[in-house]
Amino acid sequence: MKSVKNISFTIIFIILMVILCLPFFQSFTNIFNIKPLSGQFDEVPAPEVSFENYRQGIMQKQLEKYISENYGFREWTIRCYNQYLWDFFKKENVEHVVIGKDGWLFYQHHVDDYYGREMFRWQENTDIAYNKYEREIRMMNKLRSILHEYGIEFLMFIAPDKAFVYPEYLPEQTYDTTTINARKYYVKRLTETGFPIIDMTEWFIQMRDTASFCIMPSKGAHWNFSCVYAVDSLLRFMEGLTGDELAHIKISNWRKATHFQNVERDIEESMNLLRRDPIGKKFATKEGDIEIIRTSKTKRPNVLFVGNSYLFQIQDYLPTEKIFSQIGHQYYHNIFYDGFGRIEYPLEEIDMLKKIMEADYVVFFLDGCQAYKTSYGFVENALQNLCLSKEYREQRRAFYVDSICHDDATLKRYAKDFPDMQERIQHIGSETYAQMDSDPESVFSELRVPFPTARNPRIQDILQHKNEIFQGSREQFIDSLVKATEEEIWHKPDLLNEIKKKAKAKSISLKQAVRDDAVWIVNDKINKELITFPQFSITTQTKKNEK
Amino acid sequence: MVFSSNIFLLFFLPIFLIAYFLSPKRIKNYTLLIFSLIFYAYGAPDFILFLIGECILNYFIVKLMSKSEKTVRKKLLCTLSIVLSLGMLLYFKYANFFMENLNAVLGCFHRPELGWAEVALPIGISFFTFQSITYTIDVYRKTTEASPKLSNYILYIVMFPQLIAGPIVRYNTVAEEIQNRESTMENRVVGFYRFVIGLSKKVLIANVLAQAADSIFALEYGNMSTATAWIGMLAYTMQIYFDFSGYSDMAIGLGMMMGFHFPENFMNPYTSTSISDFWRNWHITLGTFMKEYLYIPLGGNRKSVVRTYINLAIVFLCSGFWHGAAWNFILWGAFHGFFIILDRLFMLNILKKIGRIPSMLLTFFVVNLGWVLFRVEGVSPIADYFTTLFGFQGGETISLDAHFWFIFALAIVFSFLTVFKFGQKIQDLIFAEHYTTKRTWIMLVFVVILFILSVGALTVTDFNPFIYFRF
Repeated sequence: MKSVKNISFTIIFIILMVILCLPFFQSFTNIFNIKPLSGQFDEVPAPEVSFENYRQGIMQKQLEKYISENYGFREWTIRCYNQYLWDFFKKENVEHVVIGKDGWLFYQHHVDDYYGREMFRWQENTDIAYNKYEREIRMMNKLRSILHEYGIEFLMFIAPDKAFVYPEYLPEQTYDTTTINARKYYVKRLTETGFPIIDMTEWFIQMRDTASFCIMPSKGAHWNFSCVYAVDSLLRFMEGLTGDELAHIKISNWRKATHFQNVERDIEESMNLLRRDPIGKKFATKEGDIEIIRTSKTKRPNVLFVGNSYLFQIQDYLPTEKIFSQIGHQYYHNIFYDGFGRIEYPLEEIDMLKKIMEADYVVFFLDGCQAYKTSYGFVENALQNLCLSKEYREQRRAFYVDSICHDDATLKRYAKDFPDMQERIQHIGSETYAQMDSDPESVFSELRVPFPTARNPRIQDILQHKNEIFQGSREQFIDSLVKATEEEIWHKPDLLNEIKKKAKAKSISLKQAVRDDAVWIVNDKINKELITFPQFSITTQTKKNEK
Repeated sequence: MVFSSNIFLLFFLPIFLIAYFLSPKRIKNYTLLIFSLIFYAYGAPDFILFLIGECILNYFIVKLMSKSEKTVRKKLLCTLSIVLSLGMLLYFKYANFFMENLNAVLGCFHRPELGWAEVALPIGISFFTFQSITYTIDVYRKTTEASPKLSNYILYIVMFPQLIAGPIVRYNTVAEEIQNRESTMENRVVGFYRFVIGLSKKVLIANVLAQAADSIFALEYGNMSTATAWIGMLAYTMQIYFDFSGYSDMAIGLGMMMGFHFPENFMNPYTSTSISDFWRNWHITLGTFMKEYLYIPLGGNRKSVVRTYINLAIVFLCSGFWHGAAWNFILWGAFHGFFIILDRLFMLNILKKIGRIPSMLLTFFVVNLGWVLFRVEGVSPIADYFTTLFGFQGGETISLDAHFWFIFALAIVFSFLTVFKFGQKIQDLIFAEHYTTKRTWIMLVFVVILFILSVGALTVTDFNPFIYFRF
């Protein structure tokens, strides 16, 4: 009996030691594959080892922080603790998440928007907000009139806001009725000025009780399969504006939604729990098979989107390459996602004038909360880009900043905060630049008129190339597509990893494997008629003759 | 480094345990000593040499004392050793306080302030000073033999499980175990369980209560509602108990894993039926120290009644002052001393008459008021807090979530569980030194869950105060 007890204690002691030591070994070896945490985290640098830092306790603090951020199984222990908080207390450890009724989750800004508080996050008071929205609406109309000249349609699409569609699941809070709701204001004023706008919020509110499933995800921030309907509406709306015939979307074989659970549960995912909460029948979502219906007259437009993450779901749910010939997406974090592969570029690397002029439609695509931020500077930049040359803009801006920096009254105003003249001028300069970016009309008289007539000379160059004949043969065109696809693959680490495995399996070089994959992708697109061929300067026959 | 930190739990502790258990018996003490010095040097690089220096000096003074035949010489050396230890404590812990007050007095007489460079407080000085005093006095009283080896003495003082926050271990309690101890597998397992229970008391209970208590004590006392003031006081009462007793459990558990038997520091103090009883159950090792090394030498209750009260007052003022160099700690000590004297005068008789539960509740109420003195700094804020507590006023409140309320209720249940027989049974089962095989396996599941949750909590929240760390 005693020996059984001793064996038990020995086994338990070994188990305890293993549990205690595992995180230590995992920290250095990473032998177990642990699901990473969702969300954005600041990387903690390794401690700066020096005797002075050690004496002052700086190194110890850095080390503790570093260890806390990097020990083995960290993700798992955090998930365990979060699950404990969630299961026992319905408490989450994520910033900006609000727990609603019946297990619904919301982001704080959606709740604030519904209760009339969101405006204060972006504008100090209603007067400032009113002036900002009015200026934006004025500039949007100017931009629309300019783009219209070139056959480009500029429209606004507002994605449904979950808090407005299912407000009964929000926690009870008091309304602030003194503020301006940006979405409602834009819808009202843009409609009055004749600007094309489609607000899905109202449509979803009407649709929710007749739909056979919950049209907004209870655990997600964005939308679910219902976005497919929204895209169909958008396409019909676009058709109405231009008379183009665009693709139709047919949905069949409805079933319980199982794909894209990460999308439909993105708030829950951000809570980093061990397991997903079950969603009852009442809030279950559905999905179906999608078929894109096109005829020979169907046009696949090039669309430039300016908007937020609601667009990502559309790209997840729909084969957008069958609907559009090309898409670009100016995201609000000064990021540009190019093409269907969503290759990420910093915004400053993008030739936005070219992107605009190449587009058939420019769609300002956002939800109600984003409307407070206006257009993230897109409209202001586009107006300047379209009407003024870069050199002129730089010259004028420099002159403007220079005159302000040497204005005695301005210099005096900043003297207290910036006693050093050099620093003061620098500060005034950068503040003035920021002001000019948000209000270009104040600097450029050309933009102050209701319909600006000044044009950037580059537009003509871009337009010349827009409809130009491809200089080369069909084979060369396909080859250029393959090269572009290869380039795309090199920029996609996940896909590249897959190809690496294939290369290893086939015993070929990675370069060759990438090339093979690119050829396959392009051929597949050609077979599916996803590629529109331009006119070629060299036909295959001529090329052969030349040879 | 505190026990409730990821660096300790996931790096220091596993490395230490592997090194310790793999060391041959004859070098186990050296392994423990080296890790203890690393532990201290990590948190207090400037004081490690001071600590070792003080240990060496004190060791040789006491050694000389123990060998001395002459009583006068013995007394002189004993005094020298105590003065050395207390002198260091007075300088490092109280110099700033004395200078601040002296300058305040000078300011009242419009005299210029005296210049003074702030003195940094070495971590754990209050604890290791008391331990070195117990060693000196015990050897002087011949209660125990002087340590035969310097390394053993240093180990007694710097042993990391009890170095920073106690329990205050008397030398004779561990003298034998330092030289020769047995660490069975059962000791290791049960010790680890005790450690994890302490860790979860600290991290999963005390830290949650601390957040609420801190938020409430950060409010304007005059403007907060009476209900909020009561919640704040009760939350702090529970926080300090689970914080400190949790740390003691961790220390006792770590010691047990190595074969040491450290004395218990808490025995359900909130179920005490008088303030005298409270001090038999709260920070027991400090109470024992004060009794053995201050109250009895002052004469205890062997002289006149008045002298006994004076002795008690001195002991509790010192006890309060030991907790921190601030007036509120002195007030707290005086407050408890006052109730101890009341106990001697008539209170114990009254409490006996009213029965166990009412006397327990009354004692708990007095203890709670005492914690307000302990927590709030400054006489005027203390007065404001008491006014709000008994003002029955509305005012500022803070919203507290289900997590707080659940943990708060759990803390109260755990604090008073042993009032009932089944509670006592549960406690005996969990805190037993010997476990049945079945119970060991069941406990393993709980302990692993508690350990993972504690590490998760430490990672998720940066909030991890430890009240007794600064003492």
